[in-house]
Amino acid sequence: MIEFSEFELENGLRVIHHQDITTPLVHVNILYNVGSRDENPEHTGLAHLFEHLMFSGSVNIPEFDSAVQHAGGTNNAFTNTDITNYYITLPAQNIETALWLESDRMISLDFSEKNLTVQKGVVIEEFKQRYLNQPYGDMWLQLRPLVYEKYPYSWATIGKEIEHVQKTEIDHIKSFFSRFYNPSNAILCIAGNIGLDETKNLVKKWFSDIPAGKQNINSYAEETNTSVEKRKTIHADVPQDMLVMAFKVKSRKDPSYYALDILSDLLGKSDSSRLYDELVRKKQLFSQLYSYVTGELGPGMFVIEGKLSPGIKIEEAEKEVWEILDNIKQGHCSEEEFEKIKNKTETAHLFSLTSPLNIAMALCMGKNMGNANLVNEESSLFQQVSRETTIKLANEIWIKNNTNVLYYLANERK
Amino acid sequence: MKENNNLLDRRSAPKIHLPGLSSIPMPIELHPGLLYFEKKGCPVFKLDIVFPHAGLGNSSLKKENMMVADLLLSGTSKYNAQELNESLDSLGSYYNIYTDYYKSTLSIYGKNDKYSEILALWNHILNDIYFDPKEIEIYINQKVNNLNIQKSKTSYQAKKCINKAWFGSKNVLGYMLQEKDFKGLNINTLSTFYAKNFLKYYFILSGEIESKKAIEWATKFKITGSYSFCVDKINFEKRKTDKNSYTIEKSNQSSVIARVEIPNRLHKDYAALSMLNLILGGYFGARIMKNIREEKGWTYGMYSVIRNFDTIAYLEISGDVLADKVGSVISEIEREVRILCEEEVSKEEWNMAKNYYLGSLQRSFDSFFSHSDKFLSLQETTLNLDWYYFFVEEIKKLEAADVKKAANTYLNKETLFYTWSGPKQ
Repeated sequence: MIEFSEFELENGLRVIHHQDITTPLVHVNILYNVGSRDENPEHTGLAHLFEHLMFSGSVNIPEFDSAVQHAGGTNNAFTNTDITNYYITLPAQNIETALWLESDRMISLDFSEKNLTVQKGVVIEEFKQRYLNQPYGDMWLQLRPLVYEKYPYSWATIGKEIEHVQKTEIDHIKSFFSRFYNPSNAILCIAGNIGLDETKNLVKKWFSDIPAGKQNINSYAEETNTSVEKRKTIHADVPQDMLVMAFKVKSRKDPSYYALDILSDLLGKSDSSRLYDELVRKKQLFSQLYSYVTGELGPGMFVIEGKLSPGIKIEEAEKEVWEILDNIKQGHCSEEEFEKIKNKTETAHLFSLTSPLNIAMALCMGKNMGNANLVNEESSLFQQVSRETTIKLANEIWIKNNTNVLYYLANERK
Repeated sequence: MKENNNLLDRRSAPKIHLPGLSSIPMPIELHPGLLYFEKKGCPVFKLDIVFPHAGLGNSSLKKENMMVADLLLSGTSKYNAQELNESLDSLGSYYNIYTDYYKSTLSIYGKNDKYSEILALWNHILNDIYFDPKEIEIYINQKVNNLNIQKSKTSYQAKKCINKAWFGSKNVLGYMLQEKDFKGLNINTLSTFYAKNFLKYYFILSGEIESKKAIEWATKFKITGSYSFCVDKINFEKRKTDKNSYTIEKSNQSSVIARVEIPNRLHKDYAALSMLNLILGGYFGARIMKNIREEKGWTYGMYSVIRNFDTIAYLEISGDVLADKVGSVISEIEREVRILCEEEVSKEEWNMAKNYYLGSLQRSFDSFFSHSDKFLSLQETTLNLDWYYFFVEEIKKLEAADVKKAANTYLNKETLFYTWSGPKQ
């Protein structure tokens, strides 16, 4: 059981506190309710580029990282489709450095042309390193526009293309900042060796003077339910063919998420899962094959992804995957199989809670979904999932007109 | 800027307190070959089974230790791979295997209430292992396919070039496995290596397990009280050849690696070299990152690390950079090295780096389940965790002049060894 307290400043900043006296450290995690779904489809990659600029100096502090390092700390951040999350870990006695830095960049950044030019260069290199210079690296750039038609998930967080990052100007950055970076649109969690009273005093000291701003209302176009199966074939210089199948599913916030997660584990998480046992181990059609749920706050994806063994026809491989899916849809899975998945989920959950930083992030994520206590409730929500509910769900999502298939074919080698 | 006339004055930084190491967890030897890191109230455990005779240094060029480690769950006389995986999953347990030059380590994770059942299963596996030919075939298929993916990456090719030149192609660390090595794998090779090298092991248990129970299970496993490895000493060949690069024309980036030999952590200069590494490329605020990423935007990340062996070590700088900037990046690395040799680090940078380093040492002991990893990382130099008390004091005593001296002693343009991979420059 994770003990925590919540309070809110007058400017709307929501704050969560979790004390852990066994560590000499403190973790300051701040979640902003803005992700790549908040971007203009004609100018993508801005949320992620902005994350980089958050480290390029703020109104009173020219160098963010140096100040953290000087205090013996470390920091990082990540952006996804829904949120941007920043964290600092440092010795507990230096917590004010973290609050000083986070509050200053919540007031305003140093919007300089030089910073923007450098960070655009860095992000473009990240784009190349992660998405272009790796075999199959562009899979998400290809899959997202195939799956999503209206909901703003049809591009990857890095951006649709390098040109979108390249064309960003200072005014775009200023406007993005004023829309999303304010106390009303943020959740702060302080976890570690610090008491509640001290936390309240310090948070008030550093954040209560910042004007409230507006909360992101998270209103987006509704995704359409297509009545046809969608397919795309790509030819690339990769060593072997890859099959990707994606099924649209409901939001991470929907109660069906827990059954969905169990279904994806049962189908293809480990070496004892259905896909691995049948198609990697027994039939050897694939060298790797697994499934997972993307878990977005908007409509998500149930993804099956596998690299084929040499000489196997991709159409044949896909047909075999469907046979496994149909088998589960017909109810061919035992209570023991469900128990197995639940046991593994429980262990993973308990291990994740041994890290105070994980706890801080989980509390912020839960709060952003409307309930910080999810960190304590989710384990039981997984345990409550029934075999019947899961099979029913499989029959709802694994249908032809909810299927998006990507054939990633290897070019003939010379 | 947001409008508020009553904003707090944030121009001055809050006062900083120097981080320190309060206490380092030390393992208790509950029984010969059973070390225990205790955490009261922890509902889960981690058990590291360490095989000190199953390192890369105990293998031939075919790296049998890695292959055996990968195939530990391929079967027993009683159960096939599917049944073993199913049983472990049903117990809610998972595992991973790590191999290095000195040892292989199997880390098992689980809930305390399943401790006996999980250990009973692993006891059966380790004492009754059977390398199922069908599992070997699947493994070969997976490895060959993965190798083909790796071969198209510039980072893999640059690493292959430097390891070959640095260790020599006849050393297990200088050789990257090829398709023929996987295809030649058979049951005899695996069984022979397993019988010779994997039947001696010791335990490091982390969590809260009753000591009587822990000893009872350790005894059933017939653990040995010997913690020492047995490998040949490492020698760096550093053979300069004309093949220090590998061309991949269609690549969007190039990978650059630079290495230099240094003494290991047993040496008196190690603290100064560790600070030198930090300042050069060991953290986000390091000079190479500031120069190549933050000022020029040529890379997403370029860092340096120190790799320790039992009698020797090396410092390596590596990163993926703009495709056509290999020459420029190498010039910038040399420039940074020259500056470290010629100029003392400024007071401001020195304080920042020192505080950061002391903080990172403190952080490295924050995660309970990483204590055993830290313990094992010192094994090649036969040091104990209390070495960190000594090391922290050494860092505190250091002055900027010590780093300049270390730079002049160990680093210069001639001692740096480069390889790269990417489009033709």
